[in-house]
Amino acid sequence: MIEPSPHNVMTTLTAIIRKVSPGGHKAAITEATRLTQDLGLDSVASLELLSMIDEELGLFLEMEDVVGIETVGGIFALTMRRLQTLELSA
Amino acid sequence: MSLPPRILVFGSAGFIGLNLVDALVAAGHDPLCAHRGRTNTLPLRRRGVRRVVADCGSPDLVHALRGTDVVFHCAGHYPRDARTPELTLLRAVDDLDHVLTSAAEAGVRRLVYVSSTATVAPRADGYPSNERDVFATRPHIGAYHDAKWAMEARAAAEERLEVVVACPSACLGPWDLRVGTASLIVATARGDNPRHPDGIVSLVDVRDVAKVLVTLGTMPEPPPRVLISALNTTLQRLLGDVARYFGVAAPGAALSLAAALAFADSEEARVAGTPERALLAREIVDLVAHGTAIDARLAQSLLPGGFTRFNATLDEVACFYRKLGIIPSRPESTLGTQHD
Repeated sequence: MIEPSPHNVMTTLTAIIRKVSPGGHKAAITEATRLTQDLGLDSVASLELLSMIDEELGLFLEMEDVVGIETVGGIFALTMRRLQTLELSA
Repeated sequence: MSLPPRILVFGSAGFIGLNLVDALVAAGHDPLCAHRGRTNTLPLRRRGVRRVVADCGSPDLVHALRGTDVVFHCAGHYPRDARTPELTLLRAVDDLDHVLTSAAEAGVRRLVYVSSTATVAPRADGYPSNERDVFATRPHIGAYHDAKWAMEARAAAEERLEVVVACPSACLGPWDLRVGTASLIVATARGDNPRHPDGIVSLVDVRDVAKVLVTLGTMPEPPPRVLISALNTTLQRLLGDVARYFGVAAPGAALSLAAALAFADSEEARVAGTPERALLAREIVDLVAHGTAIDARLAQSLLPGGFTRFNATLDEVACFYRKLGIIPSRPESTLGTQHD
């Protein structure tokens, strides 16, 4: 599991997002970046992205955690919460 | 006592696939769940089932299939892009041919191919169609029907291994994360009053489909083709029942077929190359316009307890989509018309 610092988490998320977004999304990725309008991900691709993040970071997310997230900031906040919860329960 | 069959499920991360995995596990099997490298594997991982990355189009598919007795193929090409029907049809048949050839080379004993009631031809005598009714030639209805027909014809012609063709009607139930077949139902439940055509639609609870598939994969002498459907109705009546169930306004009048086709085609063109979904998919219009009532007594005979009541299916659909926030939570009104 990565050290759950905001910088580490954002760097990891950015790397995964670049892997899955059409064309690798060359522009800067920030918390305001929108999954659909900016990254070109439809709802299915967004779920695939969140699944990859879950597997890569070992977040143990449930489907109801990930549906409805629309921005990178939403993923970042969810990831931070889960990592902190996992760290506390470890 | 014979050993249980070694089972592999293609499309195990999808709608029918996930329900099939649940039914297999409930029946005491330990399926190997195949999925594409890039897909949403969260539901599979939470189930703790065995997984393998195996794309149906990969050149070394035979490797993934070795040691398998029974394959469930729930990953047939979905002919979504109706604007290039010839390419769609070629790709669909090529993909299935590759799976069948790989399965034969790997020594697979039986393959259960999940097709669709889109391949079911209406009867001249007006009675509901049964397992013997299939379009004799390409129906030329649209990319979806034509590709499904071509794939099923290819599956039925297979002689190197036993192939069972299962034709579920429109599936409803949990784990339809793409909100495909259920799109008009979900839109109605949300009070969006979606534009829609009218015609005969047939429906079935996806969990019933999964149970029938398990039987087809494991019974000694399965029938070659089974239609799986619980309910014949019309789309207008169905959406009215859904609206009553969810306590929202009744659906507006149905579009004429010409208007529905024009709207669906304009939607397909509008969303092409974008992450947006068409508000009305062309294949939905084709399915409704060319729908035929289904006689599913054979499937019923394979399903102990019979098909799930429609309102029980709606209960599950409501629960699932509310949990995911796709349908807003609100107090349920009185239940809709009983269909069963």
